[in-house]
Amino acid sequence: MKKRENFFFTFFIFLLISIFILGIAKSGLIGSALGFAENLLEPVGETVSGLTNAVFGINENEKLKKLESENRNLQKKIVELRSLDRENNALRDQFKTQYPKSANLLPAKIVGAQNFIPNVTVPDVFLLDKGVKDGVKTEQGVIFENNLVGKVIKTSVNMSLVDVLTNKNFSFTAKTSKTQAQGVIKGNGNNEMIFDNVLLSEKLEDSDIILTKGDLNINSLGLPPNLIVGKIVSVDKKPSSLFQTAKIQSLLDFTKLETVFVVVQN
Amino acid sequence: MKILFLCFAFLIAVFFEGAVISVPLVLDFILVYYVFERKAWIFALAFILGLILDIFHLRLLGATSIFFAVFIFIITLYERKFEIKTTAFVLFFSFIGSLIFLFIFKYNYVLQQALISSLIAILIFKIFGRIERKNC
Repeated sequence: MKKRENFFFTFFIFLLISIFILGIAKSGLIGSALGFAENLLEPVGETVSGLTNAVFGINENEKLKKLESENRNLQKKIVELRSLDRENNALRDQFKTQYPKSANLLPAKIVGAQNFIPNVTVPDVFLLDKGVKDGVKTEQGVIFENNLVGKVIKTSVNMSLVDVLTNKNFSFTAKTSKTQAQGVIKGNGNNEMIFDNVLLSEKLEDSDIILTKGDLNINSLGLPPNLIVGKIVSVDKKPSSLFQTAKIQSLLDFTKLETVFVVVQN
Repeated sequence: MKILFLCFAFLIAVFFEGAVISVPLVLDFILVYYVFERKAWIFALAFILGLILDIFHLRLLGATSIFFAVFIFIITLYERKFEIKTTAFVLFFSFIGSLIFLFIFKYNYVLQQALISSLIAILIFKIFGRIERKNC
């Protein structure tokens, strides 16, 4: 009986503490403490995420090399140099791209990419290493070259959470590049989107590129127009339906992204 | 040996769930650990792990801790009615717990992930059982 009372007492104590922390977190009073904790955990998350990508992405040749004990240190250095090289290429490619302007872009590393099965299913959200102190705000678009990656949905002092555009919770207006047919993109999970609410009178063609229509609000937050969303892989047009739909696939491989860019100014 | 394994396992679970996968690994570990140990300080562990997960996922701090605390409390209520140190109990509660967790925190593939989570919980249960038998 005493043991049971001890359990109830402990449960209530921790429940009250959790509710108290929830309350002060909602009021925003623990911003700096949270920022400190994020700084501690962010490198851990980045390391775990990077290790998982390395393990799942490793090919047979690299497996053989790593098994040779005398090449182990050299291999580690090669991986580090390649990582730096990829980051430089991503930055170089981004700043060659004319739109959006490079001055309006903030590079951010993906430190967390939760998904059902790593490297098989596409992540639904990305955790970036930039937050409020770097100028990131909710509703800002996230891109790679001029391809849309997603939208910032939550921010904290040092990090931000991005809904990937194939996430089922994500939808936005878009248009086709050839015929300017307008509709709504809805995430369908696992690297697929549906281009919905397109009038039957509009023409949709396979392999046509879908662009964002732009949904900037009065504070210039939102998705800029004319960013590449993906390409049409199939069209579903039934005369009996009100609208026609199309399946869209992104041109990006979200499982391979390491650096993305937040559109901080429009 | 047991304590070391536990510390290592919980750390791996929280960092994997924080950065790599969306299956509620920590929930499974907490459930299985409580089934074996039934100590009140599981609430403290659940509280800390919940806070770490909230920081990783940018959720409202304390939300996951509240869920874990309530989850363990519900298990303590069933403790008197059922034999909880069984595969069936772990399977059922990990499935239901994961389902509700994934639904509340708006994950995708809720049913599939809950199924995988319950299978992982069974695996952890078997491993814990083996370690306990070796230590006896």
